[in-house]
Amino acid sequence: MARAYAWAAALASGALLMGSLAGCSGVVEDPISADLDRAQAGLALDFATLMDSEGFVANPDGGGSRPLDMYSTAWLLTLADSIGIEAQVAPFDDAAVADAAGLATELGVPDAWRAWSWMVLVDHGADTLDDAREALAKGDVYDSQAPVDDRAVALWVASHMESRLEGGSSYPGDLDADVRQAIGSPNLSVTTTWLLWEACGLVNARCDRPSPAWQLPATLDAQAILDWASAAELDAAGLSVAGYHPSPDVAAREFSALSEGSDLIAEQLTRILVLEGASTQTAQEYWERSMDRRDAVTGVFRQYVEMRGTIETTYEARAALGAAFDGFIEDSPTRDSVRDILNTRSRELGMPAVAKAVAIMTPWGEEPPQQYGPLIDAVRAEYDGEEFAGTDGAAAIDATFVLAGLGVDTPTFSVAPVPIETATERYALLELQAAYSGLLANGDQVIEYYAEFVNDLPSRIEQDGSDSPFFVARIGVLDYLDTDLSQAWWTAVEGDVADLKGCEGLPHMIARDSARTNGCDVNLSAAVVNTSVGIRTLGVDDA
Amino acid sequence: MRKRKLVGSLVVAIAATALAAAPASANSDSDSATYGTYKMSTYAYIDSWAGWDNCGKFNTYAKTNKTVAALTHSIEWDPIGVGASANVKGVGLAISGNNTGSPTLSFTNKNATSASISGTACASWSTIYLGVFSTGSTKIGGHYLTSTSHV
Repeated sequence: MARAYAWAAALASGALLMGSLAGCSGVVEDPISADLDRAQAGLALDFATLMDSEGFVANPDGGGSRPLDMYSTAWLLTLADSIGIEAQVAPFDDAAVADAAGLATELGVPDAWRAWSWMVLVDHGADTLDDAREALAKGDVYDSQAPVDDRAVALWVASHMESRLEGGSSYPGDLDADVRQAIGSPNLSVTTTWLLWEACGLVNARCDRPSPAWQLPATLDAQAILDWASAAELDAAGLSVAGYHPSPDVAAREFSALSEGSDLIAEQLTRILVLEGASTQTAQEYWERSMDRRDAVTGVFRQYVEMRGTIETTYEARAALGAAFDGFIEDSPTRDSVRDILNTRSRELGMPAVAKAVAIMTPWGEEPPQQYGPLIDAVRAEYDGEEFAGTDGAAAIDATFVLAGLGVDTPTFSVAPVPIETATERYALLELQAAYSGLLANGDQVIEYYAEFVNDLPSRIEQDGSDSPFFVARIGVLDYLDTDLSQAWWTAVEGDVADLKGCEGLPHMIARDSARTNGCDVNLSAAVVNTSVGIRTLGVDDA
Repeated sequence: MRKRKLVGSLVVAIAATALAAAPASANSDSDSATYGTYKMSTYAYIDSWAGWDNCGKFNTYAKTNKTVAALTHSIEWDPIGVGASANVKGVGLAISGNNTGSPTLSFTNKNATSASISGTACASWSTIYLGVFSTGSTKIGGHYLTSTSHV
């Protein structure tokens, strides 16, 4: 995410507008076109920060805080410990405990790891272990029939709690004996061996010395990194690990390529760097980047969420940017990703999504690539000849707008007008747009049916303002009408649109509400920049 | 009022898109966590248009490129807008609410490379965008691995 495209910057700075601006070349441009160029340039800058690694544009979430993630926090605090950073968390109040425990339950964090997480948090300033004790009190944590990996983790956690906490672990059996028995099991992985060997030391159990073996594989996966860190730990603890040789350069390289939010693996790679005597600069940088998700009150890290784009939202970005979209995606893998989906999984998509994917593949102003002709035919055939009842025509209209934009034949179908209610107004506005655009077989009937509603539209807009969820669709319909509305009325609506412009970090997009409690929206931004009042408002020269 | 022929015609020519922003989103295939050759991905597809009551079919899954003992896929709906809400039906799983009241679902598949959930999601009329938090979780070498993405 947050890829700053040179192209977008150039567009925003006006470099691509030169020659079209009045006075630059002696050609005076239509002021509407200049406003549109400016509005699109601003949106391109914002959209560039929303593009994911596969080239899809993501729609921002609602902006609410994610839950406190104590499992990730525990790994990050352990990472900090390893590189000498003193990190603390604040004592938890009941709400924070409920928040953190709720996420752990929702995501199915294993009880042993939940208990370990609390223990680490308490080591760093938290003051409750009730949730940890509850987790460890569950019988299945110490199930002797559990896979050896899981059993080793449970014994390791219990040993840590036994040695570090007042009141011990409340382990239900003979921890010493069970640890000794477990480390004698055959065919232990080097990771399991390390967990149990450390447990032996923590509870002073007289365990037999294991003879682990491990060597760096040609390709690294999660298990390999866990094993590598464990081999390094065992080596540092004085046990000989056959085949193990320090490879700090490989670890540093792996760390540099690590995805954000991979906190467990980041901590394991940090341990490798520390134990193998390498620079921990990458770990320091990872820690600093993670500050973005640290809760200011508790010091606990919130759940990391990767924002991913979609075909739908990427198509809306195209609709917003128009001809500028091709430049916008020029250096991104957008079309490669969409091509892959169309080639391998188009049957999983609904027809509107298929049409939008084809649109993304089509350079602005050109005909769709020939190989997608059958897909376009399939979209058309899906709706051709249909008579949609209720609000069932929504998908057909959505897909048909896309086909119309591509300049290909559209399906012939009719829709039933619906009584205007809060639950149906959005659909009614969609039907009206389709009717005015000549996309419906019964367009005249639809326009006639909604005549009273259309007459009432300006007063609805005036009365409900920009916080109505239908505001953008309503002003969109106005553009199809020859109105006699006063300049003062339009100025007021422009003010309503201006009230929605910009969110934190996305100054050019349209917000979902004027209070900014729900973030900004790509789809709404696309809709607004395609209205006359939207162009005038978003195209204001902020400079 | 009559049909307008002024600025609107220019705008409509540019638009070629439905201006009544859809309440539901679309699809994503995200390699949301990659550890060397080990990949855990989450995928979410929601029909971009709903029929009656703003309802649309959805299909989400988490997948790995290697068989794991247990793979848990959790989804949390994210209805966005003033007073927005969502409900889910036809999934064959218990639906619970999280601390914000959004419906959440979870399914675990054992000895598998994928865990999926499908059904119908419905957004309230005031929902401007229906997002979803999609999580994949598994254990590797006894260690818990998880990743969450939002579409």
